Amino acid sequence: MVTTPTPSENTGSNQMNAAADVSPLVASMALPQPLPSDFEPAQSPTIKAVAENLHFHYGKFHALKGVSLPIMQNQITALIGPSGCGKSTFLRCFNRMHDLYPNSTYQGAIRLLPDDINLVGPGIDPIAVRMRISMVFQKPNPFPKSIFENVAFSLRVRGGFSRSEISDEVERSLRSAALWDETKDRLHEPANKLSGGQQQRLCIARSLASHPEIILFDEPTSALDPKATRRIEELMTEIKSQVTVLVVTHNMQQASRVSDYTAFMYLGELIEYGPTAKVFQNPANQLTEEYISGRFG
Amino acid sequence: MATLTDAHISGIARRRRIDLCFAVAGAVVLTLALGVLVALVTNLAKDGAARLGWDFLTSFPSRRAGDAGVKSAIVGTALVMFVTACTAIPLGIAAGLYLEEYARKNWFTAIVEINIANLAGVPSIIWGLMALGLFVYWMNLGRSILTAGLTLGLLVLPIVIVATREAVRAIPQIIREASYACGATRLQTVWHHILPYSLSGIITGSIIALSRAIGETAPLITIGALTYIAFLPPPPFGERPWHYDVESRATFDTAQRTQPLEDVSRDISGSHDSPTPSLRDGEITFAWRLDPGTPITQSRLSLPLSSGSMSLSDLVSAIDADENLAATISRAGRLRITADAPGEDPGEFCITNDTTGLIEAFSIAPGGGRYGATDWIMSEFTVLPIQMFNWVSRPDSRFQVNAAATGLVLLTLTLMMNGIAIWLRYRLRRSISW
Ligand SMILES: Nc1ncnc2c1ncn2[C@@H]1O[C@H](COP(=O)(O)OP(=O)(O)OP(=O)(O)O)[C@@H](O)[C@H]1O
Ligand SMILES: [Mg+2]
Repeated sequence: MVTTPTPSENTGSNQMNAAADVSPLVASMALPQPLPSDFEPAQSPTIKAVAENLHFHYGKFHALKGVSLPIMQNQITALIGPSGCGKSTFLRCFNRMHDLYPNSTYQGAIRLLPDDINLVGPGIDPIAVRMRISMVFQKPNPFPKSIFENVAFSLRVRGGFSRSEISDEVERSLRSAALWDETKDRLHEPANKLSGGQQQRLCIARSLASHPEIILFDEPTSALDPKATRRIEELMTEIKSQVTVLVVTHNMQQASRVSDYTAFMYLGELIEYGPTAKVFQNPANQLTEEYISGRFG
Repeated sequence: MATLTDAHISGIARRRRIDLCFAVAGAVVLTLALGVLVALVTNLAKDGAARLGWDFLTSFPSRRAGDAGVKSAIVGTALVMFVTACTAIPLGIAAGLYLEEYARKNWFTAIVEINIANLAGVPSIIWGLMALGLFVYWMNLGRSILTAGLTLGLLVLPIVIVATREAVRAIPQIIREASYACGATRLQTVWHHILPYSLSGIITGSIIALSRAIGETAPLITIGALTYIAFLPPPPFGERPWHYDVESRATFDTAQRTQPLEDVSRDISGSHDSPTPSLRDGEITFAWRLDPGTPITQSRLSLPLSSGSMSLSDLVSAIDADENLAATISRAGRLRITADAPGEDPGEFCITNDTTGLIEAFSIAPGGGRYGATDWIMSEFTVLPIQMFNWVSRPDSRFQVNAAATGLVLLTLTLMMNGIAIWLRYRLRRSISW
């Protein structure tokens, strides 16, 4: 049985009511399972972004079928689900990556709070969105430039930074990405001389340099060995005080280790969402349980 | 099922024999092809090497094979290549980047793509004809370095476009996504990433395009490159020793076989395209024809024009001494040179055909100031392959040796360019990996 949360029937218009109050909306999210009463995060989290009945089409292919999901501020939300279920598609809606390719259509909304703008709305410039929401990819993809220039690029595209501001920001970002000690003496060496794990941390530093509000991770450790994976996981936990994290993973241990919330997707729909401990220990949905216990996917 | 029968074994042996036959055939064909190539080059080297020397590279062409050199052809080739590079490379890069990074993939871009590939296969003589119509007749650029450079630029443009597109396509999509994910615009992505990472491929392709252009002969013959050029184009801002004006151009009635100069001067008509004198480095070349259909006659005088020490009256006698030319000093103190049809008495205007003829009067004024920065671009020119072609077609065997030596120069230049392309590719590729 698949329950699809559909809080508000979307009628093709992705214009959101800008004055909409958030709390009743979240209350009406009709999550498959409400937050358990015993779940008490340190500070009760606020919502950073919320997908509302999000549909996405690759040409005629209906890849996301009305996904509604809140993303909690300064928390790690993990997206899990079998291959091809639309995790990456969902993730890439947040920074409008689909706009790079023709015939992509969004319906519904992803509202970024507190400004309450619809990230996939028609009047929104994808570049402005990407300046606020950055991304780390599956395969480490540093630019074939120096370590310094990789991080500095995020600032260069914005312009208006002095040399000293840029080098301060590069240092700050590399420190945040736990890469500073390893690279401070070789900032001007090519980035692709770094190991795979270091490259991925460099990509994290690059995505941190612009002070994003959300970082999207699409299977960030699937190309890395266990040790490098551990470091990236630690890093995600460290940076969540600065930034909201949304991470796609195929690794159940990883999801349960690092994430605060978990969303399980299947065939373009959201099946279950809740605090990670709850989803893993006491899934509400049969499919979720089967997937988590490795019986399919 | 898993056992090998004798039939299987003999099948393997038979396939092995076929394999061997194919390998032997391939080796033979390769050896033959290489052998022919080596023979051609050695033959060229054997013929030309003796003639090749500093003198050969620094002398103008001459009627005497032993004195002739390729100075004007080398300079012409260099300047034409410069114009070609300045047009084909930026245009080709821009077109390639546009097609790869900007254009939406639809039927229109598909047609453009197919046609670019087709353009690369258009015979070069067709380009020459197009250039003759477009640059020479329509845009009135003359038979100049500019015309030649643009013609070859068009010819190799598809090569640069294709090289650019291939280099750009080799960049993984994930690098573009990384750039866009940082908030970069298309232009920022192209400028900071696509262009730098594809540069080695683009440069290699451009050099290969230029090494194709350097040997092109047919289109330049079509646009009318001269085969005999004993001057260099004017240097930018160089001193202009004398300058000439086309003073008049007159058509004559065939009934009246001679005509006084004053009448010619009064009867001004037509445009200043032919005949024209050209002044280069102390030499005046006069070219004229009696009517548009007839061949151009040329006469060349060596005069110490650049020294400026020659008096006007000495100049008059020097010009008068040429069987085809006549000179007078006008009342305004300007030297007026007129061209006569050969075979007639000098000093008079003569029309030797039966139909209406065309004759011009020129005047030369001393001290013409300086050349502009770009006067050279409108100069007439020759290039190495045309010089070679000219010498090959002479009956005198010593000119054949000159032609072989020119071939060696051309071959060396081409090999050098290809060498640079390979080296650059190797050097630049090493620093980029994904
Ligand atoms: N560019 C595209 N054009 C058409 N269909 C696509 C495209 N990209 C993905 N899809 C389809 O959309 C669906 C969701 O793909 P998506 O990449 O989001 O899956 P995923 O959950 O990230 O899978 P994985 O775990 O394997 O990465 C799949 O059925 C896929 O075939
Ligand atoms: Mg994916």
